[in-house]
Amino acid sequence: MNNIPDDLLHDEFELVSENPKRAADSAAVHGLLSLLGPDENTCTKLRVRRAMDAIRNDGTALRRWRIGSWSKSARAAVVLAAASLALVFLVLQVEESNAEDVLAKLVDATQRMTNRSYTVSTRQFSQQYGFETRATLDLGSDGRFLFSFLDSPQRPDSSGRAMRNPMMDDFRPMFGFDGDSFWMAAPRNRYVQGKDPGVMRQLLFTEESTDSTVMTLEPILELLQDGYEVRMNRPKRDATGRLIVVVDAHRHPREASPRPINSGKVPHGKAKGDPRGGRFHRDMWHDAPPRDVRIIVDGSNYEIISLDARWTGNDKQVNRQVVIEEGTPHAYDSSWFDASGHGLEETQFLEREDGMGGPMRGVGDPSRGKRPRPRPDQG
Amino acid sequence: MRSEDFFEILVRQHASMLTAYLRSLAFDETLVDDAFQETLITAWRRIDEFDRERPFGPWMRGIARNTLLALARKKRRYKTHLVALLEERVAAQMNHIDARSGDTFAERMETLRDCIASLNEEHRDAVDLVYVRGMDSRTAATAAGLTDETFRKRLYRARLALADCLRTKGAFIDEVSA
Repeated sequence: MNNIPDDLLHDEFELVSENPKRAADSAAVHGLLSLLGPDENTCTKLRVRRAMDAIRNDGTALRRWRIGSWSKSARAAVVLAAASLALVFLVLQVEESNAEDVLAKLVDATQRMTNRSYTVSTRQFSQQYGFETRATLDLGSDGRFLFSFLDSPQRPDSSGRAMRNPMMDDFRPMFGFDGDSFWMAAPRNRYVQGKDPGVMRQLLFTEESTDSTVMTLEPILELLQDGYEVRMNRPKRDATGRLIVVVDAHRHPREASPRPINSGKVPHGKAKGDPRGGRFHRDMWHDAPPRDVRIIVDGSNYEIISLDARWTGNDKQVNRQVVIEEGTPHAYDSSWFDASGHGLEETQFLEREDGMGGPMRGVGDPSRGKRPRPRPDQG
Repeated sequence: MRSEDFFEILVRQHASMLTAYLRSLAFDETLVDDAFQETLITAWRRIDEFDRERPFGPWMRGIARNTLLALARKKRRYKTHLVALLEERVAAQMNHIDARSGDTFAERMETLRDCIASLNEEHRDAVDLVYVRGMDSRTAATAAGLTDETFRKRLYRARLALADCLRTKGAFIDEVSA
């Protein structure tokens, strides 16, 4: 609840001497009411996370908190709560490992994955404000994928407060690869499609926000191959008995910016045309790299269970976080990844020429580029 | 599991009430944010002093009170003496809500929502504009067709009506025991 004006409680304070009980009760109600505000849950979680980050980065975090002296009920309550968070808080002993091998296994497993669903939460926050944008990422066969925002994307204003783009109000972008071409549902009933993944980036990032980093799995894995200290912890079993491996990556302090697009080696990137590797993923990656990344992997097949990437500002505080977590796969449907399966039949079709930086015909001019379905590139 | 992980679990359970408590006493969101973080860091450093047979929430809010006063002294415009005047009763109400057996935090907020629903239309609209929709007072006053001062008084009366309702439903206490 970030918009509560500073002066709202003046009345209470003026009345303190007159009727302090009523003034205090009104103040208490004010505090409780403030919890009803938009994004309040997210803001509270972010406050806790910031504070805990500060605690963990402080030497005092090394102190031991002895719970042996707790009452039985207190221990039971904490153990019960802890069990539900065991996956997140599992602390594993560090074992030196070859980072390149680890990442190679992760990339290979990710490229093999089909019929998987993940939730993607992007949280951004400043000292005062925080907000979260949620999305789902579905992976199909042969590189098909579907990325769907569950919220209207937001971006921070100069103070960090969430700001909605009026052009995007109530619009939840969706984009994907249908096995043949990339497509994206864009605001104002527009729909673009083309062979180049830049179709998605251009519309998503230039019209909405350059801060709306969209992260699928492979861009991060590729990023970690350069400039990060990667450690694989010893396999353990989580609360459900599943064998898991925690991979921690920490960016070298003096590391320069990530590789520019189309430069240097990309060990696991694929050639153009395969949407899960190479240029597509680097194309989607355009911001400063995260400082810390923790990946929890299924120990039996190296498939990613969850990924937590955190960025920090100059004050060492976390100012952005992306959490990708495995969800329940949708029932497989061949139209799952096809734009025609998402109610876009009435939208305007725009085609983008292949090639980076090429013109996108029709964008900004509804009279141009309009074509009937089926798609022209299919006949 | 590390000690700080246990601590985080407890903090998460009490974070909303800590926020409500701080907002009750501080009318500056930056101050609330600063106090929230300082409170948690101080609580962690003093965790060995915590009597584990007693509830965690009131202990943490006690630290928050001192933290808030210390931070407030640095801000000239903040009337620190008012915190002391109001704090005891605000803390008592928060502790009473915390102690209600069998209530989850969501259920406590449900009581508040019931009380909001029972407000007259003017008061309900005022609460909705500011606390649910997140408007600042000036924008909300404009939306309600009132002057800023008139709107703030209406909002104050709405909060008093809600306090009465919460008292009737047992969520607030009438008298603070010494």
